[in-house]
Amino acid sequence: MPTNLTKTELQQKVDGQDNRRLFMKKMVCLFGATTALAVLSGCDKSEALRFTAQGSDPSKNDNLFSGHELTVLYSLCESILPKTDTPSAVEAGCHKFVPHQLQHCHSKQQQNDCIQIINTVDMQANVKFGKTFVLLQPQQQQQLLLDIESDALTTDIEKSQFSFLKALIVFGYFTSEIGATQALNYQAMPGGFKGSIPATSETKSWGSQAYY
Amino acid sequence: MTTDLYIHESNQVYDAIVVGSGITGGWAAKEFCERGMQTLMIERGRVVEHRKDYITEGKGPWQFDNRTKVDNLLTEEIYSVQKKCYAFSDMTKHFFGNDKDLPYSTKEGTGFDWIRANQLGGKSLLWHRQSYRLSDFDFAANKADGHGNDWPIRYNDLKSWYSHVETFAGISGSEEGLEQLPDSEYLPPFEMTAPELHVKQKIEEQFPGRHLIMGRTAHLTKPTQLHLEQGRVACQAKSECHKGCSLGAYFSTQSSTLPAAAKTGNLSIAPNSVVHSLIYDEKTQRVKGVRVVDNDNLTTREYFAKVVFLCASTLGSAQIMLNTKTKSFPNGIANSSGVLGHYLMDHNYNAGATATVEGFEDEYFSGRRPGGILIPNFQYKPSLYKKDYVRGYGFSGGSYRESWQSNAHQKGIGADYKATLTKLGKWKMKLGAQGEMLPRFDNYMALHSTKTDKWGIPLIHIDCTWSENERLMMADAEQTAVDMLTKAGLTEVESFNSVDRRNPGLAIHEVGTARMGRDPKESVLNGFNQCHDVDNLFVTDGASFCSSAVQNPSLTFMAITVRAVDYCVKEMKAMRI
Repeated sequence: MPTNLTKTELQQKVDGQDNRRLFMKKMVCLFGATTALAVLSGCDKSEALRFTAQGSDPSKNDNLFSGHELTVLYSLCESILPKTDTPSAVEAGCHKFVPHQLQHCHSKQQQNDCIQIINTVDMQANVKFGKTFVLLQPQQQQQLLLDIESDALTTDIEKSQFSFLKALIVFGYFTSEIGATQALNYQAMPGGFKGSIPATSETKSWGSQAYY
Repeated sequence: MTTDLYIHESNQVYDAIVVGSGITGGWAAKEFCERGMQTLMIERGRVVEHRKDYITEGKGPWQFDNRTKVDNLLTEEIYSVQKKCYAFSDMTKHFFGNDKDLPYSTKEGTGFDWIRANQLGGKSLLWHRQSYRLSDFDFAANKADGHGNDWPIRYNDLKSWYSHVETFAGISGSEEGLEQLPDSEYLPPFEMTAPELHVKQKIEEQFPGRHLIMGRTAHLTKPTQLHLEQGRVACQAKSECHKGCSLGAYFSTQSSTLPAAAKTGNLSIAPNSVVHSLIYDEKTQRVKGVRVVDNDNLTTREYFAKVVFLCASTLGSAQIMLNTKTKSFPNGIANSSGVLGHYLMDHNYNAGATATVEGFEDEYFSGRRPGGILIPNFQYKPSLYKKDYVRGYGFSGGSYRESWQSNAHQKGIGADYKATLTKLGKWKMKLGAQGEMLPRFDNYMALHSTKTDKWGIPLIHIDCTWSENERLMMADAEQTAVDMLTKAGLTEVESFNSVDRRNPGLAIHEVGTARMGRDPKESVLNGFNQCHDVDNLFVTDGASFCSSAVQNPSLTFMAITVRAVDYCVKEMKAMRI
């Protein structure tokens, strides 16, 4: 469902404690009761939710993901490639890239795999911590994802779905301008090929590739 | 460049018509023009201007909507075959053929992936630029083991012509003195990485007779005055060649032969002109010109010349000939032998191995080398053949350090995982076999009996498959790659063999549909690429090959073309054509 609120308007509403009730009403409208309830259960981190309000514009993602799924994806991006001395996957726009790329360059099966694993992640968050993945502490989020990759209780299908989504986020990150030029070392015009240059454990990979 | 370079209608009888503007057509046009011949180059596709039309050049991946990937719907609609090419992406798709407009059929249960590049410059814009001479062992292979017909030429017939094209095009490489891979006229080779030098030493120690050398490429590592005069400068190792290169650092029609031809004032180009068939005069037994269908509005027109050179690609040239049915040639012009369209070959690039090179953590490289290393064919004569199959293969390959592209699927979440992806990973070394494909009558293209394309030209119908010889060769190549990397001390060796999964065609080295030969009863062309049956019709692209050898064929297309033009002009001057 589209919203007429701009980001600034929405933010003002979020920021104003007095408007909390109004915001929740909007949230229920936008994403349904589950997410809104999750938010009611203690919303001190609304970044992902704020993103969703924009990202749920149907003309942009054709509703591949529900509003709630988009918030989980946002948090997944942040958790998998967080901000360090270089920007995070969210700062590089991966949470917007993933729905776009799935729509344009991937199969129905791969789209469904991503939807499924996002819901699996969120379900596990609910089972283990009693709340949505979005509202977990960063350490809890990371541990939960590490468990999905390694836990014997996760099925092979789930592992492979997660691996695919993770690789797509990674692809989005390192092909973004931020990822290619800040996280990596970008050579637009190398000036020729040298077969041997010194490297250390701190040397960054080239962000510029002939083929992606 | 003259302002009237591009023509539409013309009643002029040119000295020469060159059909096609790729590597072969570009050379034919240049050589004719420089010999003072009024030359018309006919191109079925649009004009691509050097520099101006390299629309994606210099763009980073983030500047493409889908980060260099091509939209699914677009791919399915018009690039269902082209998408299989390694170089096909959102950065290059405008230089690939439109599969919807350019349909062809294959025999049920078989497949042939035909990569097209129908624009001015053809595949010279998209080629992989690897440039190797054939050797006498290659020219004698058919005779030596009885597969296919004997090439009517030998290395010495081409040697000076190889030098001629190499000097002008600019080929980087190293002097090796190998009998199976004659040296070229070289610009300096690209450098090897430290692990490559290490693997080279180990393999050459362990396997006498095998060599690991730097690949030879049509890149200006150090341009000469001749190249600078063409408006070309040194390669900057961007390896974004398939987008087009404004530096002219790799050889293409646009960067090299076309400006040279245009400079003479003798060149005209008819773009958007799809050649339907040749115009044959039964009385004189010569071709008079070509019938053309306009690429855009489907109107028809004709162009005339004293000689016609078909340089329209292996399948394209044969299609034009098969579609030229006359009283004397009911099965296609110059096809009295009945072999036109047969003996279709590609290269077999379907097996190899990748392994880890331990150590060298303090080594990296700078720039993107537009090519890799080569292990030349070490089974190049019958005494070196393996027991259960004939002919041989070489390996191409190279080293790289693992990066996010190789490690995205590794386990990990968060800051450490992110750091791993940005730092240098293990050194890896890859070897991929480049196998010879035997010439077989059963591998052929013909015209479809009922279906035509939008220009009213019968579709090409292809029946081409790998034979047991190719399967056995790839099985052996896979094992050999593992063996070489293992004995060179590499670890984590992983092999692949895709011969049962990948159709012929994807090496984009299709050759053989109008082969040369001494005997007009079993070949279409003589040793100068001249039709046995029609004196003023020549075919100088890959169609003329008698065997595929293992080398990338483009350099040989160039050499046989300039030799054929030289012969043709001499014959014209002697009034024999």
